[in-house]
Amino acid sequence: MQTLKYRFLQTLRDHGNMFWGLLYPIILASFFYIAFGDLGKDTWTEIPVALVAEEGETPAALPSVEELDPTEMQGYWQQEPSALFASFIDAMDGELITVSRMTEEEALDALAAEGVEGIFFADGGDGNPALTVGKSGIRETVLSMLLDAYIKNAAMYREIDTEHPERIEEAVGVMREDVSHIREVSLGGKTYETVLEYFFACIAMMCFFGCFTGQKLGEESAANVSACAARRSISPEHKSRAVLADLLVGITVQFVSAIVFLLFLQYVLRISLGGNFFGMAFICLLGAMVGVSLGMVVGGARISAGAKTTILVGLPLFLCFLAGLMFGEMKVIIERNVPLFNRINPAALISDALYYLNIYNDPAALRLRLILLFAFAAVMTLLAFLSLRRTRYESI
Amino acid sequence: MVEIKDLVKRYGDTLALDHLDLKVEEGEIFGLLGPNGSGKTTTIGCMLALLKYDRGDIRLFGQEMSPTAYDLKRQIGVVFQDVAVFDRLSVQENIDYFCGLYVPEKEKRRELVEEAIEATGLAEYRKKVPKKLSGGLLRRLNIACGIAHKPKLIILDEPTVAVDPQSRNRILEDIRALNKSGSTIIYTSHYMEEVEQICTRIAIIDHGRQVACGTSQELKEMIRTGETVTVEGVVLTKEQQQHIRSMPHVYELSYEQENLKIKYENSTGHLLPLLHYLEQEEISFANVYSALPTLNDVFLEITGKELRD
Repeated sequence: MQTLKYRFLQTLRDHGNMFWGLLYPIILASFFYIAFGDLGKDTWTEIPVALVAEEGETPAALPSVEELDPTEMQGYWQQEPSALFASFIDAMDGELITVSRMTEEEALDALAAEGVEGIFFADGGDGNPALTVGKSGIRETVLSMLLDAYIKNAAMYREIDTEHPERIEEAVGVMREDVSHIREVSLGGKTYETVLEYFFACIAMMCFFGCFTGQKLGEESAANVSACAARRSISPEHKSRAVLADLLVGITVQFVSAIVFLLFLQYVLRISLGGNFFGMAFICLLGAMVGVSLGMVVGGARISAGAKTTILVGLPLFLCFLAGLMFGEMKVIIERNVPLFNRINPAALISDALYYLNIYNDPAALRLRLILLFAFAAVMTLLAFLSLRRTRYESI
Repeated sequence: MVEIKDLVKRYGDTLALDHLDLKVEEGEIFGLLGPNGSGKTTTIGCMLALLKYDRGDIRLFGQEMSPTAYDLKRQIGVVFQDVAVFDRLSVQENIDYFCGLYVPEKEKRRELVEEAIEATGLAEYRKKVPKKLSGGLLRRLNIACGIAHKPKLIILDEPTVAVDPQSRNRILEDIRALNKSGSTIIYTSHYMEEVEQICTRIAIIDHGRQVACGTSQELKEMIRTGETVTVEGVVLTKEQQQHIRSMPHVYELSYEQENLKIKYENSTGHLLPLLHYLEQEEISFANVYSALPTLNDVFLEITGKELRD
């Protein structure tokens, strides 16, 4: 216990390592937060629009696209086009827009008074729906895209419904993509999920930066690297126990730092990472094991201080870059071209595991990432233990 | 207490220890004297089972030393050449940590830590971290960490390197006190004055071999020089130089730039006859002094080179 106490004290008082292991990720996450806007808050407010349509019966609205059963669409598109559009807009009420049915005059007055930001006409005069907006901007672009997507797809669905009813499922897929795209635009070109991936990569990086704490612990364990380690080695303290104690200290410090970081994201930046905090904590524990062990292996190696710094700064940043820390699409590009690399890159495994845990509910994919990450953590920890428990050296 | 036989250690093609033999008796302050690179630190490394060696036998307290010889390790304290303390722990915490590796009992350890702090004069610095200490104080902390658990055998590897004279004297006093309190001490240094000052027996090492071993007096008696007399600012004719050369016990005379240096064989008390001759011949001079042989002379005569080289 006495050994553990002083090893903890020595580690916690190392302000340099604590900066890289905790403060730097907090600063970086804060920059992400500023760059991506107030992500924690629901900043998107629905766009008030007026719908000008003939009074009369409107067809039953289709369910939301995510829940749509393709069989429900058979025969649907054979109904009156303006009525179908009115039904579509009504169905969008409360999702991206708030809809008020008005006469054309009322709608124009509301637009002038900025009571609404756009007017959808169920029949624009040429048989197709139309849109009038008061000014240009992202919200108006969203309305325009909504209309364009509807016009493009309505014709297609009608044709498919008439001539190739068997392909209606494919058409639903296209519709889902369109609506998803419109939602992305609505969040300034980034979906919330996309932005969260930056934070997941940031969590992976902070786990990896435990390597700096590991480096110091490794140096203080290898008698051929530091005088302190030599003094420890000639004491009656069992070397294996000493190395295990150092591993425990390093992993605990980095794990607790990761918990503090998660709490900072959730309660200070108010970023909703997902509900499974304990799951995230477990992933961070595995990440901390990988980071600290890597640092201990490098720290205990008899190479120059410059080479150690190059490895321990370069490798985590490179792996995190490939996991999407600096460029969110990078991981997707790798997944398309060299998916195996994402399975052996621990930073990508951490980021993916957090993604599958919190956003994309895919237990099989999550399980695979957790198994791979656990294997990685176990191998790295074992490697650190074996490399440092050596008892005699060629030279000191 | 320590017995090393036929120890051979190579670093690649370099032979660091060349069939080294050493024997240290209980209660000694045993000096390992040799120039930098002579193999002193390597000897310590092998002795402590930190270094692999090619052949030889090392026994401490009559038992073979190995990395897992924990009972042996418990009786040894080491003060390394490089300061081996944790930079983020205070003086007291450092001593407590290292003492704790040997002494698990809290109460006993507290007493030992206090004694070590007092013995090394670090009481007023106990809360300070190492980087706030001067070089001398840092060395004292290094010693305190190595001796706090009161080991039977203390190995000090050049503990006074880069230390001011005042701190050096304090450290040497500490070592004597440790020896008086019952510890056997192995002291390595390339400072012959220190070794001569505190060691009861000295082994001179060069190129990984023991070239001589004995008390300071025994070592000096091993060489031809008994006394060296130097006369500065003196003008001598060839005849006068020849006369001095023929005086009893003179075995070497050099005369350069009005400086005369005479070495006498295995005896002392040659200054007065020389001065008497100079007076008789009415030869004036600036300075004259006599020196007894040093360990450097021993080293010089045995190895053909200066200890300081």
